[in-house]
Amino acid sequence: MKFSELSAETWAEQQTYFDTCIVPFSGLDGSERPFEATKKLADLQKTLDILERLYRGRIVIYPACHYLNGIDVEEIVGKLKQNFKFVLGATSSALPILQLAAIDAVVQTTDEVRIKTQIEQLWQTKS
Amino acid sequence: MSQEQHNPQHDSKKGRKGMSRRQFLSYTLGGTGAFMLGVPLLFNLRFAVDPLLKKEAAGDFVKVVEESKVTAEPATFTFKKHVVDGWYESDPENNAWIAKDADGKIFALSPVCKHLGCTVAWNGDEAASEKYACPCHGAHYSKDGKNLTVAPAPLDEFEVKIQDGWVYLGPIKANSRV
Repeated sequence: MKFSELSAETWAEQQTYFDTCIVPFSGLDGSERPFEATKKLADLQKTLDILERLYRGRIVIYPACHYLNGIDVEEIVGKLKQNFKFVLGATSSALPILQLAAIDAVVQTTDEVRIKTQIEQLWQTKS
Repeated sequence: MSQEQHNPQHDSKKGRKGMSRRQFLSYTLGGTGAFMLGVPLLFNLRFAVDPLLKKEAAGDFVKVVEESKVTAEPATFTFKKHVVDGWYESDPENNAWIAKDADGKIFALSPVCKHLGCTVAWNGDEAASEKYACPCHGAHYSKDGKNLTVAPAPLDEFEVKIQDGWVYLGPIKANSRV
């Protein structure tokens, strides 16, 4: 589910079911030409669409992070972990900054089978 | 004076063949009023019964898979359905679990879990042999879509039409098998 679909009342009732937060990382750094920025975001959107369709009742997709230069991703993930058991990153670009201990997994594919394997193994091993 | 002189109305009626002014006015006003009420009423009635009169559009059913490829084991099939939402048109992808029942009749179930909307899978986990399982919160459904655990309702069903050796799927409806 997208973050905007959860009202205060719904969150209070259903918070226990939504234990996984997905943070999209666009990988934009400012050097992209317009069509390159479009492609990065389009690829990321494909991944998010698959995640939303497969796991709508357990994941919450948060607003995307762009332009990570100077951003303390570790701090952001730490804060998200106050509300979620699992924090995952979703991206279409290779972002070394995401290889943090705090992030439980990084989804970097549009292959549905690989996404299913990655997410469901994570839930089975760490739940 | 005679009685006739004191009865001007009687005199006027005697000579006149058409209607009186009062009658003309009554008919005109009444007719106009009836017209002004009747025409909108007619259009509103037509609007109200329009859904009943609409024939099922061919576009409501989508060709999905050859009938010969459907077996007793549920399999998932992807298809696109043209959606018009106001001014916005799109062709979103949909999935369906299609199988034959014990009588050889083809049926199709929606893969959307009735708990919180995740996508279920056939034989989705080790505890769900010959069942649909939801990876989110452990809901299980039978082959006919009956909710066994967690979910409050059975899986929805697609309308199915077999034509020229192909399986066509139509709108989603409540499960009619359980």
